[in-house]
Amino acid sequence: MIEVRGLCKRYGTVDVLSELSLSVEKGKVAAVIGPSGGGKSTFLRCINGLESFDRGEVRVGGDVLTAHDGARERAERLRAIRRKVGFVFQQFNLFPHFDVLGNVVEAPVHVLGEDRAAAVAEAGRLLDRVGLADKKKARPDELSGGQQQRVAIARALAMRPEVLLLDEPTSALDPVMSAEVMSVISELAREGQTMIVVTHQLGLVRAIADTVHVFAGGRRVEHGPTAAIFENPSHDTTRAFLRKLEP
Amino acid sequence: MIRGLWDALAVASFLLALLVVAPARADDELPLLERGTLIWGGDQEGGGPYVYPADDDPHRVVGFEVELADKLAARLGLRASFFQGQWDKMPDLLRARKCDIVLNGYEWIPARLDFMESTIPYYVYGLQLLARENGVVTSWSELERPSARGQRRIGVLGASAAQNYLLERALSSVEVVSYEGSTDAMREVETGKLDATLQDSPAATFYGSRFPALRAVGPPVGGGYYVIYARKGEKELVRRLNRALVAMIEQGEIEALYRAYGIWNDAQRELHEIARSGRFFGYAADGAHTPKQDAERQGGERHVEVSSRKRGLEVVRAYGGILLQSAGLTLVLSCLSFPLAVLGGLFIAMGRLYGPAWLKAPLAAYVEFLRGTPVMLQLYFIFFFLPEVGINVPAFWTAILGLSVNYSAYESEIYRAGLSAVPKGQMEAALALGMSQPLALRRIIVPQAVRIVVPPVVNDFIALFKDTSVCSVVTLVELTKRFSVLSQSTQATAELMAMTAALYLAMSYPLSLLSRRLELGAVKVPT
Repeated sequence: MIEVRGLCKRYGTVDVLSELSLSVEKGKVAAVIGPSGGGKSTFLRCINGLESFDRGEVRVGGDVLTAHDGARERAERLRAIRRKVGFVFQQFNLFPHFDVLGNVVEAPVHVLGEDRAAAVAEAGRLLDRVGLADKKKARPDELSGGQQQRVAIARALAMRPEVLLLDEPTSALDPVMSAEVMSVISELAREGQTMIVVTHQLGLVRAIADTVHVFAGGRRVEHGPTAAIFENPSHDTTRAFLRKLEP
Repeated sequence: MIRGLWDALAVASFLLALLVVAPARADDELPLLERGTLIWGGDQEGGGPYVYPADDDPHRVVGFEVELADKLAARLGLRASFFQGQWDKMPDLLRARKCDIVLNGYEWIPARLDFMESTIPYYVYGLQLLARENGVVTSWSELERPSARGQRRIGVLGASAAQNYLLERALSSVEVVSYEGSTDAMREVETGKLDATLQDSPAATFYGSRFPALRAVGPPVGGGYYVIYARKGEKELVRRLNRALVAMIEQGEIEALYRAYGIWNDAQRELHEIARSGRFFGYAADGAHTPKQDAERQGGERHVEVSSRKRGLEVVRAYGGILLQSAGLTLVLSCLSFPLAVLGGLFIAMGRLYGPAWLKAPLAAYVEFLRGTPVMLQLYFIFFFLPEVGINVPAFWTAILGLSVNYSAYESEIYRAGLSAVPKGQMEAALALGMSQPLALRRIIVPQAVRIVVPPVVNDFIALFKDTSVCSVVTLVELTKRFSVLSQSTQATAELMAMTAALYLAMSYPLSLLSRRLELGAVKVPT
């Protein structure tokens, strides 16, 4: 479904990402964990082109993004990939000038050109799914962080993405709100939504991830089935990291 | 005449015009005949008795020059049509083909012949010193000695022969203060801010009754000739105007006209000598004329009197309508140019923030250039210089173009700040949803930036309202110019000022209210 091969990115003389590869099958969930500054978010942002990279390629379905695409080619491929790939930000990034419903229907109506009434009906279903059916008319600044993140998830789902990328979706939230959001994400996983999630919530990882990928210093130091990584980590960095989060 | 920068500009553009403009045409045809009108330029702000708004209908101009223009045009088989322009810009208006002749108390000065054609004189003027009765100035001779009580302040019409006369003499105890209209200086003498004023004799005579506290000091001095100027090379037009003037002088028509305005005096007899000889050589006539102020009048003759000074509500009734109309022009100018400035500014700001790299430097240069030069100079360039290269933009569109281009530079900086203030995550979220950059700007970024910039933009709009007053350089009579014109000819300054201020406020205050509502988030973007 999604395959990243040999991704490299440099800032000046610093290798932010070196030779990163990762693939996820349709309906599976991959979790990316590791110490801060290890390149997890940058990696995720390279997949949908919010960051550029210097070498390697990203393949989503039949669409390929490489480091050497020309400007016009890149723009075209990015748009194709972005329609298939949803993105959930750590800081939600809801559109403050629209109400909740407006946030969710914006892309279906203006990007996909869907009929407005149909988009509104679909948005209602999605908001119901994330437990916010009664907040359609609320403005983003009237919502708690957890509610905002759930709207952001509904907004991404409204594009019916083949893959959902979640960049530390609960890091900006307190434990109660974090739990609300995690239950929504777990529900998505159960329903077979393909996802890559960058997170520090090991509980979430255990609950939903099929594979775990440990990033440190811009490299993937270890990866494998979730159980194997948690029970029998082979790399020192992984062991140190897991000890720190689950003493 | 000292006209500083404008003179230099005029000469420079004239030299350029020589290179561009087509060669002179055949001698005896007059292309004006085809059009049927003689467009003559003047400034009603100069006031009586030359050209000034009529008492009963301020839309109409009257004055001895208005009647002179009508009579001359009729003799040429044409209809006279008045063209309002700023007095000191007349030569530029002439060169830019906005009018055919300048007929507005323009003195015969040899330097002007380098770039304009002159007719024979139509009036012989003197310069009259007016001072307050019982004031400190009682004679010319005391102005020549250093005074123990400091400098005497003498008011003159800017760029006029009177100003030149005083500056040339460099009297040690005189400070020359220049004004836009002649009666401003007279009032200032009356109120004591000036010690005296030096005026062309027609204005001094005509407005004498309005300022009873003033009296003439000594006989008129200096002096010279008012002539009609035409574009360089328009020899046939000048020849016909001269023929008409000679006939009017010899048939007594000129004398009757000047007697009607109370400005006929012995000095005008020189006009007959010039008419008889059929030739006119200019010469400095320093102190040569001692006009008799009250020439004997023949019975049954017409007499144009300066009307009594209007006061209070009378002023409101008489001039409220025309001020309102000029406020309309101010409103139209602002409301047409501002949306264009907003649109232009938005594109410039987006180009600088999101456009291709090659576009950024030219846009930055555009903004810096337009912000860094006065809007007056930009209007001047469009109106007076572009015609030299064959681009003739009418006054109204010059104002719209000049104001919107100038303000687009200011607007763009506001939007740049506003767009930059929208968090980066907003663009990322929009792109991540598959939007193209233009769609993201239109739907997500710009609507948010607009809210941030509402207060400074409304502020700019209010500033533009008042900046429309510079459009008088391109001959538009908007609210401020109308105020000046009426104030010069009526001296009802306090009333006119209050009305003008009220009109500006009535236009700008609703904008402030609107701005406050927008700030409170009353504007919703349709989803």
